[in-house]
Amino acid sequence: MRALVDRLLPVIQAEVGFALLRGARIEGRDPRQEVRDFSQEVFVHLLSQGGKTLRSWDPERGRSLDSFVRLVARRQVAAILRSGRRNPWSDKPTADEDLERGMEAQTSHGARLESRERLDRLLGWLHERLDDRGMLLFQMLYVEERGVDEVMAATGMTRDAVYAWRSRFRKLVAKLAAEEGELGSKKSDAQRQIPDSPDQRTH
Amino acid sequence: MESEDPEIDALVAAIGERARDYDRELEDSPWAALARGDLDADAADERALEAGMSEAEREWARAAFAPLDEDERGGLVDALLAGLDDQPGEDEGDAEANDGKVVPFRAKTEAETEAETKTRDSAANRAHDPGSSPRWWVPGGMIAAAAAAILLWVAWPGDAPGPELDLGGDAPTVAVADPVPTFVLETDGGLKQMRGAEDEQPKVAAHRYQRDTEFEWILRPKLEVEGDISVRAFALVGSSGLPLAIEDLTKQSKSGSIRVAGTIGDLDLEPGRYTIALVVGRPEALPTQASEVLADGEDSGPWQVRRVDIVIED
Repeated sequence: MRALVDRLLPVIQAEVGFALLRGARIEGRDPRQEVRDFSQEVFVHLLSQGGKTLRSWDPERGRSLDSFVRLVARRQVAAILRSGRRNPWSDKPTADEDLERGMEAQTSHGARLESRERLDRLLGWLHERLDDRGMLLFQMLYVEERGVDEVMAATGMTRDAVYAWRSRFRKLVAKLAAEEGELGSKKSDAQRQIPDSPDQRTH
Repeated sequence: MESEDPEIDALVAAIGERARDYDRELEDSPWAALARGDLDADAADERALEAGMSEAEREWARAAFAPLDEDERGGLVDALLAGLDDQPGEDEGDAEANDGKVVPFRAKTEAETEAETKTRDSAANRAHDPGSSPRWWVPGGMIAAAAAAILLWVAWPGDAPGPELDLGGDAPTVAVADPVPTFVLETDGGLKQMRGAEDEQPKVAAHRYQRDTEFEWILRPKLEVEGDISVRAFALVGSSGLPLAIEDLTKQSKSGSIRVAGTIGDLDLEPGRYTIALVVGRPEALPTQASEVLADGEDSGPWQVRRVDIVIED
């Protein structure tokens, strides 16, 4: 166990710390404790159910253990933060509240598409909604831009199965984008209807 | 069916590009280098200062990314191993009584570390001290789920994980806590599948739906549920499957019944024939991949699978 922790902890700690730092979730908390808690959650996830997640890593499929663990850690942290489960920042704005703030600053579709914050949000939602296998496939298809044949070889999946996942990714992104748009519209409507609302923020 | 919306295609590609940027930023981060042991704290701080990072952020990062010391690593190992302490044997304890239990941990003291070095005593034999615990914790259910894997890792001889990670077969196992009561699936067609009587289950025709057809599937526990219960769904076709996003379609009663309802279109499935696998159990123990459901069959200790065959028509 100690060898395992020594081997994987630097990767997990870097991923966890970076995610928390990027999320600007650093106020009023003991950074040491937060990183330890989240790292521990990642380890538990890797080892749960007989180590299914960790044992699903196959070095023959072209992904290093570090890369695999990084993806798992990234998804796990996103899921914890999104769900509020043991969220140490429960007194902080929720993801939806963050989203609303983000939407207020968006003025055109072109601006939205290019918004790094928006893409980060969508990426975070993907991490939260996809399982480990889904994120690995997304990573291969859209982040590493591997071809379908290469993904088939790496995963042992059929061509139809890979196409089905691609279709699923697109539908999920479309759904997330639509939800984001709806939330932005509701916020705009609310602001129009209650112009003097104390909750209205100015920019 | 491939998407025909170029805007969505562009958005998916942009998300992929953003993920690549994220990877690069992480790779180039001096703080990540600090965590990996490739850079010392002063050098990381200097680089961060040059990059314009505020003092508050740098102070946070110095603490967050500094590699965990021996005591902290020992505390983490103990926290993971401690799950073994709390597993009831086959003839002892009431597993359900452990439901929702939170087990606190603490980093080891210097005295403990020294004693451990001398005696090489097993971490599993050391009693916890919840009263003095700060915030190291793991929920009991999660520990239960991780326990078998932890045993495997303890027994694993290598210094680093390798291809022989698949240690199934004769691997040691431990009793799994947090059993859940038997669930019965009631579909909108009124057909039922009962756990524990697989051989007696009636062969039922697939439920036929169109995308705008409403459906309602209810998982009812035969006994009152204690603790958190959750459900995940997978669409299975032959030997492959996909997870379904049913979070927005799911409601749970106080007694533990779980209702999954909506229109078939909400499942985001193309027309065709599927077996929908509804997996119910402790949230932290549920499978995340369809392959786990396919491999482990109807029930797998901490979770149960209820299936309904459906045909989605054009």
